[in-house]
Parts: sequence; structure tokens; C-alpha cells
Amino acid sequence: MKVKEIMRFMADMTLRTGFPVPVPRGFSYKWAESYGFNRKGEVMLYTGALYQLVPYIESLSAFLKSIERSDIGAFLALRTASHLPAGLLAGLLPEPDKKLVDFSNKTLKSIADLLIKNGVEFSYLYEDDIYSGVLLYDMGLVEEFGEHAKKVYSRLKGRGVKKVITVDPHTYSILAKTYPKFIDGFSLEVTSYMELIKKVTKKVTLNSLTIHDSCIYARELNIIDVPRKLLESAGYSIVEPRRNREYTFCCGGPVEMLSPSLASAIADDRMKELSEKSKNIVTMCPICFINFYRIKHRYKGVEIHDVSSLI
Amino acid sequence: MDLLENIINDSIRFLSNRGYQEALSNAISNSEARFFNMLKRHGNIKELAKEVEETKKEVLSSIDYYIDKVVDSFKAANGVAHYAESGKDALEIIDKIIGDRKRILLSKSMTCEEIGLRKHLQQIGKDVWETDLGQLLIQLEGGKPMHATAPVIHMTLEQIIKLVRSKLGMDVREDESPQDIAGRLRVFLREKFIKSEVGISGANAVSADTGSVFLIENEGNIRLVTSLPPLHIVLAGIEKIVPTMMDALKLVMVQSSYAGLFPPSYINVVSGPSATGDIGHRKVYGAHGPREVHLILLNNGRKEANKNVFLREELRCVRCGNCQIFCPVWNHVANTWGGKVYGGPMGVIWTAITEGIEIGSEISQLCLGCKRCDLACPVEIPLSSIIHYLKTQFRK
Repeated sequence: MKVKEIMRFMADMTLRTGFPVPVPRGFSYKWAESYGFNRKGEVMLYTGALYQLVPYIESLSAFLKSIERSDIGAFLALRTASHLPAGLLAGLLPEPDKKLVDFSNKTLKSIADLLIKNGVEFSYLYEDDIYSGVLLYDMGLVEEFGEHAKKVYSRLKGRGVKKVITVDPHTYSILAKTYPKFIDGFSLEVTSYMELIKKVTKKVTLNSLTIHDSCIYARELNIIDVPRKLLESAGYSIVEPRRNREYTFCCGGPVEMLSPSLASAIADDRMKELSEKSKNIVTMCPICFINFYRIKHRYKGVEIHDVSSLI
Repeated sequence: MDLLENIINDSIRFLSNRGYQEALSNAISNSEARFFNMLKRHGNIKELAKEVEETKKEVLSSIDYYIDKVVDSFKAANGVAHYAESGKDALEIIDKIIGDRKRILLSKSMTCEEIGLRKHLQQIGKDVWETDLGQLLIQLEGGKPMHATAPVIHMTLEQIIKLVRSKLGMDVREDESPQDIAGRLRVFLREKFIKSEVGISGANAVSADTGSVFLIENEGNIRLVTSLPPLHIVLAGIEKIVPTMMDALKLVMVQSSYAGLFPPSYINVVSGPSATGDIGHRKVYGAHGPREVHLILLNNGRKEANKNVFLREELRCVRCGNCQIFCPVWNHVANTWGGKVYGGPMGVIWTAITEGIEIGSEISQLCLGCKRCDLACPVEIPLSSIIHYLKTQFRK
């Protein structure tokens, strides 16, 4: 069965390499090479590599779509392939979209710069900045997730971390709400970089914006006003879409692997609603970003911005 | 091909039907607006919903006691009460009650769909008609209801006109209005009402203190199905039981509010057969209404679900369908995302309850995990958490 094969592939990959899809060595901390952050410390930036993974998930998804049209043998081949060295495997997949790679590097740099300019002192994990495992948990692979979560946790603890700064809603939520259920004596304070920004560093460059709340920020973490206040203090005027705040509507991303056409139909719903309000759409999650980015060409003049690039 | 792949393929077909997509999209934005208006205008409904949540929890914590109580109360009201362990048992009981009677009318009931009642009765040669107009269209189409309360939420007027033309041979013009079509179907069903021998309904609530069956509706068909034929059969899942008549009234108020239909045109209450004592001071059954009323309480997986710490939460569902309206996946594929009968967030879980966890867990994979459904539920069922639990059962 194809779905089970994909799930098993991602679980195996995560347990073996720290990431759910094949990726080149060092891809998760390439963005930080020029910074020279401390590697140990009580306050740690942990990206969970979600921004960095987006271009590679996109490649895998394209690869899966192409073999979906062929036969199940390809999936079995994929399974065998999952035992190859990760670097070699990454070579099997289509080259990731350069624009997407740039987007994730730029976003992470913006976030680091924002924190630095706001006087927040933090360290960075570099080669230990591995995936949080959130996808495994979301797919219901709780045993594999638990095993991986313990690995992440021990790496953080090994560096003397007490407080974690996250950059996306999924990593934040899984760390703050789910890790404690899997790790005895869990003791980490989790926060979003947005909650640590007191003064914005960028000036208004756009007339108006509409905001796409992340489901997880809005419904699980109650992070609704934080991005609005930051954007407003930068001088932006925000126009709310029809479904907003805790009633925000999913971008469709989570079903992309199972049914690309369904994911795209959901993204279209949301894009229509957002672009009616403004041509400039703000996202705060890499999954939302990629799902809108994929269909952006159907909406003339529409741009998707990660919130960090505007504040 | 396995079940999940079948569902994905069905949903792709559904997605590419422009009529379905257009009809759903219009219905959904109207429903959402109606829901928020309702909350503004009837602020007390949220408090009632909280009370309903508590009474449902109470019943589920002593379900056997309440089943016995309903049976006693229903008998005391001169009705005949039955208990069916499975859908198959319920069909056997219904066959026995109906006997040789031939002309049967159904009101809209998802529980009747769950046991495959209409198809079963047709197979054994009965003349069976759905009387809710939406459900009648589903009968004509041969498909399954696409929403908990609005079975043809996915059909455009154009599609309905085509269906009525081809299946009922009516000479419907392309420019006829919904009013015209409703008028035609009313005439079509009138004669069936007059000649009917058996009426079968579901129940929105059954009160344990009086054995009363509560049914809400807007069309008026349930009034007729439950009062014109001389025999009325009620099929109700055991989770429909509430302690008192007052609890039942609260429940139907909450259900209709969250279904976007408050106040409902009709609230029907049936406590036993129709009777009169006017003639010679002797009680006679079957005055204008039915002479005989049967209640079948259906288990079909519910008691087992009540022992599962996740699934039991779903048993307080009032079947308003609001979580379907709120769900991005359901918004595009309606109940094609589901099991044989139930679909959408509540439907994935009801499928696990009535068809088994294995099937429910396979279907659950299409859930986005966006948690929007959790906001829709009047009785605070943690839908997204239950669906996540089902996902964890997928590989087992």
C-alpha cells in the first residue's frame, strides 16, 4: 500500500538521518555559517529545520507524484533506497527549487537579525539542528516520533539549554505541547521569536496587507495578536480576510502528499479569500508559504511574504 | 486497491465536478454566516449546549441503566420497545414488525442509512419512499447523503432538475424555480402519504423519564410520516437517550441552532400511539395517528465505543453537521471523505464506531489536523484529537 510505504519511508529516514526526506549534508545550518553563534547556552535557537526542509519536501512530493503514475514497485524501490546513505539519496530526487532554498535561508537570517537587533542573546545548534519529528506525530506514528523526540531533547539538553526559541508554529507546538507527553521530566521553556521582538527594524514598503493566521498558532498556541501588533508597529495596515483569527482556514498543505489536487483546491479557497482583501499576503509558517507559493501564478500580482521579512 | 486510495480517487472525481463544487461552496459560506448570526442573536444557546454536554455525559456513564429506563417508560406509554445489538438485528426486528405491509415511508434518518434500511426494504420487495425532499433526491440518485442534515448540499438546481426529469419522468422545464420543484415533489409524495401503511423515522432525542421521541424538521414530512400511517417505527441509536423531556427539548434546540436552522419549523414529540377516550369513556388506540408505535434502540458498536477513552467522546454528538461545514477537506469532497454513511470530521469517527476502528483509522489519514472542527462542535467533542488517535491506529 502506497500510503503506508510513504509513511514508513519518512519514519525510517527520520530515525536514521534526523530528517524525514533525503537532504544534502549541512543543509539545515548553511544559513548560519556566516554568523558564528555560540554553540552552547541556556537560550537556544532551534529551527527544527522546517523552513529548510520545505524545498526538499517539495522535491520528494514531485518525485512521488511522478512515480504515483507508474506502479507500486517504485515505492518498494523507494523503501530500499531509504537504506542508502542520505547524501546519495538526495541525489536521486529532483534539484530543489533555488528560489525556495533562498527563501528559507533569507527568512532564517531575517529572524536571527531581528533577535540580535532586539538584544536577545542566544546560541545555535548547527549540526544538531535536526527535525522535530512533527510530521511523524501528525501521521500517527507516535512510537517513532517518541524515539526521535528523545534524541532531539537530549541534544538540546546536552548543550545546556533551558529556553528554546522557535521560528515556526509546528515546531513550537510539538515542543511545548507534545514533547512533555513523551519525555519524562521535560523541562524546557518554549517561545516564538515573535514573542521576543520588542521593536521592529524594517520600514513599511507595502500599502496594505492581509494576514493568513497559521492554524497552529491561532488555535493551539493563541498567538493571534502578536504578529498583528508587530506588523502594525512597523506601520502596516492590516485587512482581515473573511475567516480570520481562531477561525482561520487551513492552507491545505498537510494533505499534499496524499492528494495534491485536494491540497491545491483548499489552497485556492484560501487564496481567493485572501487576495480579495490585498495582493500582499502574510504567512508565518513555511508550510502555508509553500502551499500558496505553488499556486501563486494563478493570482495576478499576488505576493506571499513571511512575516519576518516585513518587521 | 485499498479503501484510502478508493476514497482519494472518489474525492478527485468529486473535486472535478464543477456543479458539486459550486453548490458546496455557496452552501458553506451561507451556513457559516447563519451560524455566526445565530450565536449573536441567541447567546443563550451556548449555555444550553453546555447543559446538553453534561446530560449526555451523565447518560453515557450509565448507559445500561438509561436503556432500561427508556424501555420501561416507552412501554408505560403503550409503545413497544426493542433493543438491537447490530444493524442486522435491527433489520430483522423491522421485518417482523412490518410483516406483509407493503407501502413504507421514511423520514430522513442517518441511523436508518447506517443499517442500510431503504435498500434492504426494497430488496425484499417493499414500496419504499424517502419523504424528506433532499433524501428523496438521494434515493433517486442512488448515492449517499452528503451532509448530516442537508443530504443534497452538493447538488445545484440544474443537477436536481436533471435528476427529477430522468428518474421520475417529470416534464420539468430548465427554468423552473426551487419553489416549482418543491411543489412537484410535494404532489408526487402526497398520494404516497395517504396510502402509506408504515412510517419509519429516526430520533433526535429520546427521553428516559417519559419514553418520548423528539424529532425536529422544517419540511413537515416527519409530522406526516409519524402520524398518517397506522404503524410508526422509530430507530434510534442508544446515544440519543437523555434523562428527561426537558433535556430532550434543550438538545433539539442546540442541534437545530448549530445546524443553522433555529428555530426549527417543527418540533415533534411522540410518546406512544395515538389514542382517544372520547367514545364511551374507553381508551381506544389509533384515533387519527398510529395505532402502534415501536422504538428500536440500536447499539451497533456504540457500547464498545463507550469503553474506548477516545471514541466515547463522540457519542455525545448531536449530529448537527457543523463540523462538516467548518472542515476544509469536507468543504471540497463532502461525505466522499468517510465510510459507508458518515463523513467529515464527525463522520470519520462515526465510521470507526459503526464500521470498526480499522476502517476509521484508514480514512482518518485525510485529516489536515487543522483543528477547525473543534471550534464547530456545540458539545465540545475534541474531534481533532480523536481523529489523531485513529491515525495512530492506522498501522496496527
